Amino acid sequence: MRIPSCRSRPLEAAAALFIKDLRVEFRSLMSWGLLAASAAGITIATSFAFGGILPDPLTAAALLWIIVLLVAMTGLPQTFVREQEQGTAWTVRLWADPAPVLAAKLGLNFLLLLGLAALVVSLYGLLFNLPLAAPAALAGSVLGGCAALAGSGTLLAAIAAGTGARGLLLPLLAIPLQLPSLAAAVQSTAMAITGEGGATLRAALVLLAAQTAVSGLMSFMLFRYIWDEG
Amino acid sequence: MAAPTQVVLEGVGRSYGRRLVFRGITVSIPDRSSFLAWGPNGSGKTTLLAVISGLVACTQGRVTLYVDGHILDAAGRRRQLGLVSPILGLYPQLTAEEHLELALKVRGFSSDRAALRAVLGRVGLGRRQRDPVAEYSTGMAQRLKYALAIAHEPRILVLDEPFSNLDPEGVGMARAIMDEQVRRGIVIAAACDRGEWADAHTVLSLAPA
Repeated sequence: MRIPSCRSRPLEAAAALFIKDLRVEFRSLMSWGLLAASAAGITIATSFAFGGILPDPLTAAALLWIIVLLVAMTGLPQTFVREQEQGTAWTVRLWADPAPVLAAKLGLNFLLLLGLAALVVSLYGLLFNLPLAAPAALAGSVLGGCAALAGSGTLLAAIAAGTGARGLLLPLLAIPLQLPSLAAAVQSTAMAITGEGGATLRAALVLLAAQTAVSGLMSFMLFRYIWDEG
Repeated sequence: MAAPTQVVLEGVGRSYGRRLVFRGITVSIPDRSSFLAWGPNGSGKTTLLAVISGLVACTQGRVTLYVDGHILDAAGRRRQLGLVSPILGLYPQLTAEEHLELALKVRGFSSDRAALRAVLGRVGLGRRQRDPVAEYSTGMAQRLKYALAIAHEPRILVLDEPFSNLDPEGVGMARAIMDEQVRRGIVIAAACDRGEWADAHTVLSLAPA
C-alpha cells in the first residue's frame, strides 16, 4: 500500500476537480436537463411572441443574452449549492487549495453557459431562420459572452451559495455587475448577425476579453476568503 | 525544539458569535502517541477536531502542527493530515475508486490503480470499488472515509467518532489502522465514551460550555 511521494501540482489538481465536477453534473442530469428545458421553453415562447419573424438584430441579440442570463442565474450556483448540501464542501476544503477549486468551477460554469448559449442560438436559427452573415464573429461573441458571464458569475455564485437567500442574492449581485459584459455581448452578437462593424465588433470582443480577464483575476484574489469562511 | 511530529494547542478556544464552544485548551501531543477528546454531545469535540484539521479557525489561541520538525502551512497540512469525520461528505455520484483518485491528485500525490485497489482492499471495499457511493451503506461510507484518510500515509490522523456505523469487523479494521498510525505518527480522536478507546496516551475531557 505505497503511494508515491508528492509535489505541488495546481494544474493537475484543477483538472482532477474539473473532471470530478463534470462527472457529478453529468451523473445528476436532472439539473442540466431542467436548465436546458427552461432555455428551450423561453426561446420557443419568444418565437411565438414575435410570430417567427426575427426582430431587428439588436433586439434579437438582447433577447438571446437575456435568456442565457436568466437561465444562468439558476444554473451557476448549482455546483456550489450541491457541495454545501452534500457536505462535500468540507471534504474539498480538506483536500484542495482554493485556487484549483475555483478554476474547476469556472471551467464547469463556462461549459454550462456555452451549452445553454449554443442551444438558444440553434433554436434561434431554427425558429427565426436566423441569418448568419458572420458565423466566426457569432462564435466569438458567444464564447466571449459566456466567458465574461462565467468569470464574474462563478464568484458571485460562491458568495450566494453560502447564504440562505441564494435565490434572491445572486440576481441582485450579478445583474448590475454583469451589465457591461452583457452589453458588449449583445452588441457583438448583433453585429455578427448583420455582418457589419469590423472595428466595432473587434472592440466589443476585446472588451469582453478584458472583462473576462479582470473578473477572473478578481475571482482568484477573493475566492480564498469566501471559500475558507464558507 | 519541536519533536519530528507534534501537535501543539496553546490556549485554543472557539466561539460562534457569543456562544462559546470551548476555551483554554493547552496540550502537546508528541510523535508516536495518541490523544482522545471525549465528552457528551455538544461539548465541542467535532469543532476541536475541525480546528486541529484546519477546517475551522480558532477564535482564541493557536494550533501548530509539526512534521519532521517543520511547521505545516495550509498546503503541508493537506498532505500530512488525514481526517475521518461525519462532517466530511462523499459524492453519491462517484465511485470509491474515483474518490480516492481525486483525493490523491488534488493533494499532489500520484496514484496508480494497484495502490488504489490495495487501499480499498484494506478497508474492505475491494469488491465495491466501482459502485457509486449512493449504493453504499453508512458503514461502507465510513470505511471509504478511512481509505481517503490513510491513502496518502499521513503523519497525523484525526478521527471523529472513529467506530461509528462500523460492524465488529470494521471496528477491528479501524483499531488496526489506529495502532499502525501510532507507530508512524499521531492519532487524534474524539468520542462520546472514554471507554471506546482506552489505549489513548493522553485524554482530554470536554464538557458543554
